[in-house]
Order: sequence, then C-alpha cells, then structure tokens
Amino acid sequence: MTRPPLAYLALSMVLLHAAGVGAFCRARTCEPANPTEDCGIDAAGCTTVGNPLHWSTGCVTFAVQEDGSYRSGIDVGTALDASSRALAAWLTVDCAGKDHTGPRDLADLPSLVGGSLGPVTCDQSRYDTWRGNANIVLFRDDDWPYPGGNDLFATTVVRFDTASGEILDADIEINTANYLMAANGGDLGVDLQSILTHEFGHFLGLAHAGADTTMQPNWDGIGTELRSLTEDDAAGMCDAYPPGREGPVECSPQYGFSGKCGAAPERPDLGCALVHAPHAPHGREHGAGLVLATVLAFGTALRRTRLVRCRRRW
Amino acid sequence: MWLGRRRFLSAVGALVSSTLVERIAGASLARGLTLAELLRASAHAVVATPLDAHSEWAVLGGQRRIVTDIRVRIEDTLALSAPAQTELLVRVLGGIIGTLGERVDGQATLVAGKPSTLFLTPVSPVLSYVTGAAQGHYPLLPDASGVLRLRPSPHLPTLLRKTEAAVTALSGRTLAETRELLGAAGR
Repeated sequence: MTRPPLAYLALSMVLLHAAGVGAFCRARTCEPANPTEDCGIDAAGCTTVGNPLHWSTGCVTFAVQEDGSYRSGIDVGTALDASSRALAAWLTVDCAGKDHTGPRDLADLPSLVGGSLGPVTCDQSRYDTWRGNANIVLFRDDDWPYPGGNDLFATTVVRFDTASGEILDADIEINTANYLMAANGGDLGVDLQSILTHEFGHFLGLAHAGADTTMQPNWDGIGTELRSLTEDDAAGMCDAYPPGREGPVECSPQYGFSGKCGAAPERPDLGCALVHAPHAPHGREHGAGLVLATVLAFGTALRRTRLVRCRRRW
Repeated sequence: MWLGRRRFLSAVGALVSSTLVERIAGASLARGLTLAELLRASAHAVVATPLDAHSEWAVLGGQRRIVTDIRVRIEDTLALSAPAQTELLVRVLGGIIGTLGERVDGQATLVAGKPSTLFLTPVSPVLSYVTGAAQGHYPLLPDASGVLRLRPSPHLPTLLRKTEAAVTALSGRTLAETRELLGAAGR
C-alpha cells in the first residue's frame, strides 16, 4: 500500500491549525490599545499574552436603560427581550457539540448563568468603585460620542482587573444616532438581536478573531441569521466557561446593584432572572423575590434548569 | 482508502474556508466604509509610526472613559492635507490605568515602531482619532520580495457591504498603488 505522506502531513497541519490556533479569540489582560505592549498577536489575530478575561462569579446580569430608543421605536420591554435572547444564545450553547435541535443536557452547558435585572435609569457607561453598578445595554439616540466611529452599529466596553482578568463591569452601547434598529429583523432597520448577540460575545470576554483574513461573511444587514452562533462561537464560550466548573454563584454587579448612575447599592425590583444553572452553587442563600425566569427562545433547554438563588452583596 | 489529489485539495480548501469564515463570527458589526467615505470623513491619510503611548481618563459623551493616546511620527502623506506637525497624538478607546483595564473591541491596534497607513479624524490640531476605528488602520507589512503592502487591521469588525468597503480595495496594495487609488477616489 502506498501512502501520500506529504498530503496527509498537510491535512494534519490544517486540522491542527483549526483546532490548535483556535477559531475563536479570548480577550486578555494585555491591552492591544497600547502599542508599546507586545500582546503576542498570533496568526489568527488573537492576543496570546495575559490572562483571559472572564466573569468569575458564575453569574452575569445586565439591565437595559429605561428609555429604549425612540428613534428606532424600540421600547425598554422589547430591548429587554432582545437582550435576554441574545445572552441566552451564549449561555445555552451545547459544549458537547450535540445536535442542537434536541434538548440540551445540563451538564453540557457553560458554567455561567445570567439574565436581566430589568430597566434602569442610568444612561451612562460607567464603573464605580464603592458605589452600585449595573451592566447596561443603552441606546445612543441623540449622539454617538466616539469621534470617527459612526460606522459601528454598537460597541461594548469591558472593564477588568488587569492582574486576574476578572471582568468587573461591561456595558453595550447601541448606535441608534446613526442607524435605525428593528426588533423583528425587517428591512426597516438592522436587526437588534443580531447586533446584541455579537456584542454579548464581547461582554462575556470573547474578542475579534481572524481579521487578517478577508473571508468575512457577506452580511447585508437584513434578516436575522446573525442571531445564531457558529460552532466556533460555542467553542469560545465553552473554553471560557467550561461545563462542570465548581464555584460560588454571585449575581450582583461589583459593589452591588444600582440602577442609578453613581448611586449607592439598591434592591432591584426584579431580582435575578436566571437562564440556567449548570453547576451546583456553593453557599446558596435565600434571597426573597428572586425570580427564575425563562428566556423565551430556549424553553426546551430551560426545562432542565435548576434553581439558583443569588447571593446579594447589599 | 486514500484521497485523490484533487479531492484532497478540495477538502483542504473547504476546510480552510470554513475555518476562516467561522473565525470572525463573534466580531463586532460595522458598516463598511467605502474609499470615498473614508476620505470624506478624514482630514489626513498618512503613513505614521507609533513612538510611545499613555493611557488616561477622558470624558466622552459625558462619560469617564479610559483612552490611550499614541504619539506617532508622520512619515508620509498619501492623500488629503498634510498634518501641520510632524508628530501627532492618535487616540484609541481603551487602555489600562492602575489595576483597571478597559477594553473596546474594533479599535485600531498600532504597534510601536511599525509603520501603518492611517486615516485620521482630528478633534484638535494635535489630537486625532482613527477614522472608522479599525477601518482606518492598515499595518504595512513586507511581502515576499520586501515591498510594503497594506494589510487589514487585526481587530477589524465584521463589515456590512464588505465587498464595496475600503478595506477590500486597499488590502494588499503597495503605497504607490494606494496613493493612486486615493487620488482617484478623492476626485
């Protein structure tokens, strides 16, 4: 039997490239904004120096600024729904790579729960030490405050501890000053849930990848196909939050929750609306009023959800 | 069973394609700026080399944000007006102050000592932003024969209308070709 070793060596290299170089990037503590930092960008465009950014609390929450977007006709309820679905897309990926049409096994889900804390009044992306915080989705109807950046549909700011890589706060700003968004993926605006799905990837600690290639999707801005995650997105999520990770579950933002800008921590009306609980939390406490909510698009997966109670910091 | 050569190459090609296509799926989303739009939104199109940088707090839209100001040396002007100074500050969002880091994806990622083509939006005589963030940043890297060519910025967002975008038109071009393209687009 003859063998074509060169061909199979080449195939092996491609497979190793696909698996080893990684088809996703984790954001890391080395900050590429500073040109004097050598963040070791690899062939796939991934930063290789520093600790990966991650939520270490086992639970992540967001809130939506209560005004929604009057320019795009999106009220806060619609924005909360789109945001919940977008986050749920990440939290319910199947880390075992099974058929996604069937019910998902709880043990195969990422070890991160999350959900909405409801509407908030704060209309700024900010992070306060010794004050309450919230991870806010907000719409910029009147002005996009980033010179030269009008082309962006949205941006996500992730604040992190530079030593550990722990994400402390994250906010998503939607550029409705320059673009109309649509809640239903129609042709009257860009599909809000598609935008949010991608921004929540950054929110969770994933980074851009492969920008040195020109093989980007031919996206026309219409339709809802970008709501769906790819296998590589799922792989990135499962790498960041592997199933079965043990640890305490803490749903409050850093220094407690506050829906007002720079205010003392407060008690949210809604409590935690959790998507799922893939690992048993330690030190469960009984927070009255905490609600286990379903996220509409993932009812099948959520039937297997276990109750998690959030430990409060206030 | 061994694959035939053609089938093997097809399989490798498909695998590479699928890998590369999927790789960007988590990126931010932006409207692709055409060359004409990139020029219209910019005051300078230059070749510049980053020298040093520092991060600081800045107020943007009423919010305190960490920004990084990068001092660059202007090497050449490719189109539009030449900057009045030979050195400028180029501001990008994100950076590190103390133990707090702020990360904003989709920004231009300059490398000290490595030249890039930059499209700049000034906010003062000495301070500019990169137009379109990563869409206005093209690292210059030598090809196999040592000729510098424009490359896409490492953290380029997923672009709407990418086929018409400046990044498609400029990627792989030499500086001389870029100067011609910009001249034609600006007319």
